[in-house]
Amino acid sequence: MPSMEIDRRHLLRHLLSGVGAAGLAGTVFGAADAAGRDDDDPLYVAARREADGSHSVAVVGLDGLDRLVIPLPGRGHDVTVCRTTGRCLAFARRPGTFAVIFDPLGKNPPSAFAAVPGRHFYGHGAFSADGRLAYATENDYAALRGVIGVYDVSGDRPRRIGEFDSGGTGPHDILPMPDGRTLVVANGGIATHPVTGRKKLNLDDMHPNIALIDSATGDLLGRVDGEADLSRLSLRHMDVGADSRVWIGGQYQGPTSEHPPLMASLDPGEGRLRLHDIPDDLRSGLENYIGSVTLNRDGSVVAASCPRGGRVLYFSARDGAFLASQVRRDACGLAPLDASSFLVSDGEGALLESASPSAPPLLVAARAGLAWDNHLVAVPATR
Amino acid sequence: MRSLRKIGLAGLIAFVAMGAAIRGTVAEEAQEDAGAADYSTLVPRLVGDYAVPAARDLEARLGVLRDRIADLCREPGTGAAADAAARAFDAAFAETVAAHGRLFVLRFGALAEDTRLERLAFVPDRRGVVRRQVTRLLADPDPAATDAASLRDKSVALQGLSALEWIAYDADGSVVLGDNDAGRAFRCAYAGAIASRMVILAGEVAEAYRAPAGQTAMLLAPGPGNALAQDPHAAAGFVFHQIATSISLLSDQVLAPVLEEGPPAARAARAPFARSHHALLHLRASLRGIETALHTAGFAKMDADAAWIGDTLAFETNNAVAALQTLPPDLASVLADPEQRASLAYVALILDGLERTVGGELAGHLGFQGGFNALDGD
Repeated sequence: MPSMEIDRRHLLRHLLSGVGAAGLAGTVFGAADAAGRDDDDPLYVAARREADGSHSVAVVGLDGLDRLVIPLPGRGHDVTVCRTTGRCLAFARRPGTFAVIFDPLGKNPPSAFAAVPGRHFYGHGAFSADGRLAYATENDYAALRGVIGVYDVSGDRPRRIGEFDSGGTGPHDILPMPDGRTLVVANGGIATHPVTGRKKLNLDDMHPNIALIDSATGDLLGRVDGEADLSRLSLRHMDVGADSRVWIGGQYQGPTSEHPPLMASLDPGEGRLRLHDIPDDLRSGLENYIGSVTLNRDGSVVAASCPRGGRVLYFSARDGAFLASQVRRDACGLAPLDASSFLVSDGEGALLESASPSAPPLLVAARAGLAWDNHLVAVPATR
Repeated sequence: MRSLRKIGLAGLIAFVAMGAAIRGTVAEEAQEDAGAADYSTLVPRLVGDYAVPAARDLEARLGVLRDRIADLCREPGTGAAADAAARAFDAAFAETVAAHGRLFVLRFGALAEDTRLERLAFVPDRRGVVRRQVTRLLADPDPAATDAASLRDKSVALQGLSALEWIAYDADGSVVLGDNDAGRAFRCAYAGAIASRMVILAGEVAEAYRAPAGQTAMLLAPGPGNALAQDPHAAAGFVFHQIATSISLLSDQVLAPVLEEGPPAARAARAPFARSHHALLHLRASLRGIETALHTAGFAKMDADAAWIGDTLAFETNNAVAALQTLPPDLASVLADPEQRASLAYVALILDGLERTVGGELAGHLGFQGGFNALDGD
């Protein structure tokens, strides 16, 4: 059995000493001017694979050119942005154990940290409203228990100050609710252990749910289970509207011959999941997989990417009705572009503007050699 | 201080985190289905027999273009000799645009590193980055832009064919580079620096393919521990997807935006090299480049059941190129004429079909389905 503790010590040695001291001594700011960007250019941040197969998290403009590139020791996943401080926090893809907090404009050196022994990250996190704390979905893999790691990120170096139960197994996405205090967690329901990598250990006994947690106390405020006959619909990625409705994209782990609805929403006041179906002719082509879920800026449309099916789906945020879909191979990252449109990223280095659900997305940048990873995040304009 | 901030986290790079880059079951199944064909020949043939000659060709044509710029800028700006120099420049620019079209569709290896593709030509450019940056430069001339060495450190949008086109042509497609006006000296010096810089860059690309390093070397030597390709099938799949992506790019970045409803001139301006009236030439060269690259590598020959796709690709490419050759070079006038616009729409239909045939059916035959997110998302 591989020694997780040896790996962890190795990681800590490299991450903490490297970034905390020697790594920063070698930090290069403003080394080149590849972009020549305008100050009012909107910026986006995402994990990606570089041309040499290495991984990074990068801040880019709509011209597709880099503003900031931070090499990562492995594949990253999501990046969460603090609305108060503007700082970003990138996580390793599960079952990775690294995370990096950084300023998207590179004004301050990045700071990396590792999961504590016995835990690994699931790729997602969230900031507290004041930006002093960060919450990360983690796996207590000895107990196969989902936890939310709590980090003090107010100082020079992030410090883990505690954890609380995620309310389920395999917590994946985590987001702050509009009240600024409640966290919503998508417990995907799938148990994994680092020793067996990404192997799913409990497909016959999955219990996915959406949990609402008081971030101040860790108290479980409520939990909404998945449909009883859809226990294999792993609830994964989310976005939350200003009206507190949570939009959830699922990944179905059941027989490939079955094609259940993959999109759901939760009105916390209502307390039950509503499933949102799509036309019959689209169902079988999605390979039961939604990779990312995002609302546009005015909150009227929710987009869901299906990279295995090569489609992006659009739903009305008013009632969850299916609107239209677009064909785009390996498209997965989604972010709001302006009031109504989306920016879409794909595994071939493209950024596309999706101005209308019923029209093909148009290319705004195409970087050869790069592969944009699962999620794309808009950097707030107030930076 | 401008933008790119590459932060070296040396310690971070050194460690390969546990659990990273696990190949998914979809990829494994695809590879099994691909059978026992020898995929190890594809990338070497593509690099040696297509990429290197195409890059050398671009380098040579850029050398001619550099000379034509010098000729044009030596002439006084008016008269028969100046007109002839302008025509010679335009011919050299057209040849260079076509050579670029044949090369840029590869999108892997030497082109995919160090923003070389963007430095050669900044396309697509839906945000008008080239126009904005060149306009600013002309309004406030920077001597650093007139030297090939120092130009290398400026914005990539200022370095390539897109920027050269913007300063060399008027909106009606006429050559203005040698015109007598207050900005002539700076424009000529800047144009010369762009051409000289691009000669160097194209040479770098050719050499990086010929004596491979970086991504090219990784794709030529797949194996365990190779972060991009653990076997020849994966390497072939990687380059295949890059080229197949070029079909989508031509469809998405050229034809779809151009064929949207709207004023012809504004729609035409969305296509690369429309200002110089060489947009359709670039499209023709790119289409021919895709077909030739895939044929040279021998992708369709890897599976007997897919051989027909190679024939279809050649047939449809010929149809598209023939249709484009019937059109006048001014894209705006093409869009304004219903019959000519219909010809362009016909080419768009062909491209749609090729996307499905190559990216769908041929990829399926060869076991190249899936992508970075599709194969191993989370």
